Amino acid sequence: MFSIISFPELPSTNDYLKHLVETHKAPDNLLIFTLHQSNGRGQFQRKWFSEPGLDLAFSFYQRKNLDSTPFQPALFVMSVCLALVKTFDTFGIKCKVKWPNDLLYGSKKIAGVLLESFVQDKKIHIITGIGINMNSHRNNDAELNSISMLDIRKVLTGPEDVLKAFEQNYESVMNLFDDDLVLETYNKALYKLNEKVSLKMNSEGEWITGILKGVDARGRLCLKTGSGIIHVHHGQGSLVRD
Amino acid sequence: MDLKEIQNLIKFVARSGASEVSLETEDFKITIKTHSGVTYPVESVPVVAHAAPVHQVVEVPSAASPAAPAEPAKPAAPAADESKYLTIKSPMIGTFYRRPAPDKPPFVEVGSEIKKGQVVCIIEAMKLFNEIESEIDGRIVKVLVDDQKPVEYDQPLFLVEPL
Repeated sequence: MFSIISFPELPSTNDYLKHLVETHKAPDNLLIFTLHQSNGRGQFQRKWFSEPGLDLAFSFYQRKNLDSTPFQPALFVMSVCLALVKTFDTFGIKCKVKWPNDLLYGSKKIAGVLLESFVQDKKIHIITGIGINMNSHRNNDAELNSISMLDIRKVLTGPEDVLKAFEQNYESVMNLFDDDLVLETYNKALYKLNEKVSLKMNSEGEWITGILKGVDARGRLCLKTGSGIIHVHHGQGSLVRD
Repeated sequence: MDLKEIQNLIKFVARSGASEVSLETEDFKITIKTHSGVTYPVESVPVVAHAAPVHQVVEVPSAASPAAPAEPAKPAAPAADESKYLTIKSPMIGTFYRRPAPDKPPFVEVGSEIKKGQVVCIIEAMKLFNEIESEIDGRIVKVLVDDQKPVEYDQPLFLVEPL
């Protein structure tokens, strides 16, 4: 489904693809990747670290017509996360998703997702960026609190194999899973499901503690607290890792 | 019936356990047969007779989203003097943001003149931030949703006087 182009080096696969999209040079389902992303970033311009030549960064572009069926952004994000969970699974790595879109092995980050989109002329244009810790050594770096496929598998993984597995799993989730199944499977893969968690709220350094009961179709985290069940959307607070 | 609907129908039949389903309308006839022994590549899920557009994992306390209407508000039916106005509607379900960041001013205010292609708000869900562009030149007459409130598909967000 993807048309794939590789680059020896790029500052950021998302930025480059965005540039191609904005200048109308990117066809639907174009995927670009590099093993040397020199200036990767996450949400809010946070730096995404990857080891030159060893870690995989890729981004793909899709546009969807908003006229025909209502687009549910949360379910799209969940589908991307599920495709990643399944991709790691094909390499024998059991991951969980930390709400909303971080991929964790244990409590260490193995992959990150950066989604950017805009709506224009009744179409949504989505750029999905994914960074995977592939063949770098991460175990000794406590500061990054991350882990790589190499750390877990003890063997090197080829980027083509990862991309191929991702493509197959993404296609299968997108074509075979309806909304209910995406939601159900995403919730099963949720980090800390039915466990006690802390949420750092954006307002005045407030913290909320409760039992994580799942994520709804809007993408809100459902937390059971002493005063009942509350729903938190991403703009209100973030889940804290161990 | 488009491809997606046919796919959904096939999935529905496969899950229902029926061996054959025929459906005939004025325009077309479709027959779906399932074969025993063929495993459907999807885990078993309960069949939902009428899928609601939004599925909640747990009950929503009414206080959580006081501004969210049960049904998307009807876009039309403006008062007579408002008939010249147009609405900008939400193209998707999500959370409505009037500002690019919490410490930034809103994209538009009442009275702001907007151009076609100008970003007027963001609809976000799970870190997917969608910038919504105006499709018309005009002036913002009213902001119909409060900042950071949930919005439904097709819910009017802004009342705009075309210029």
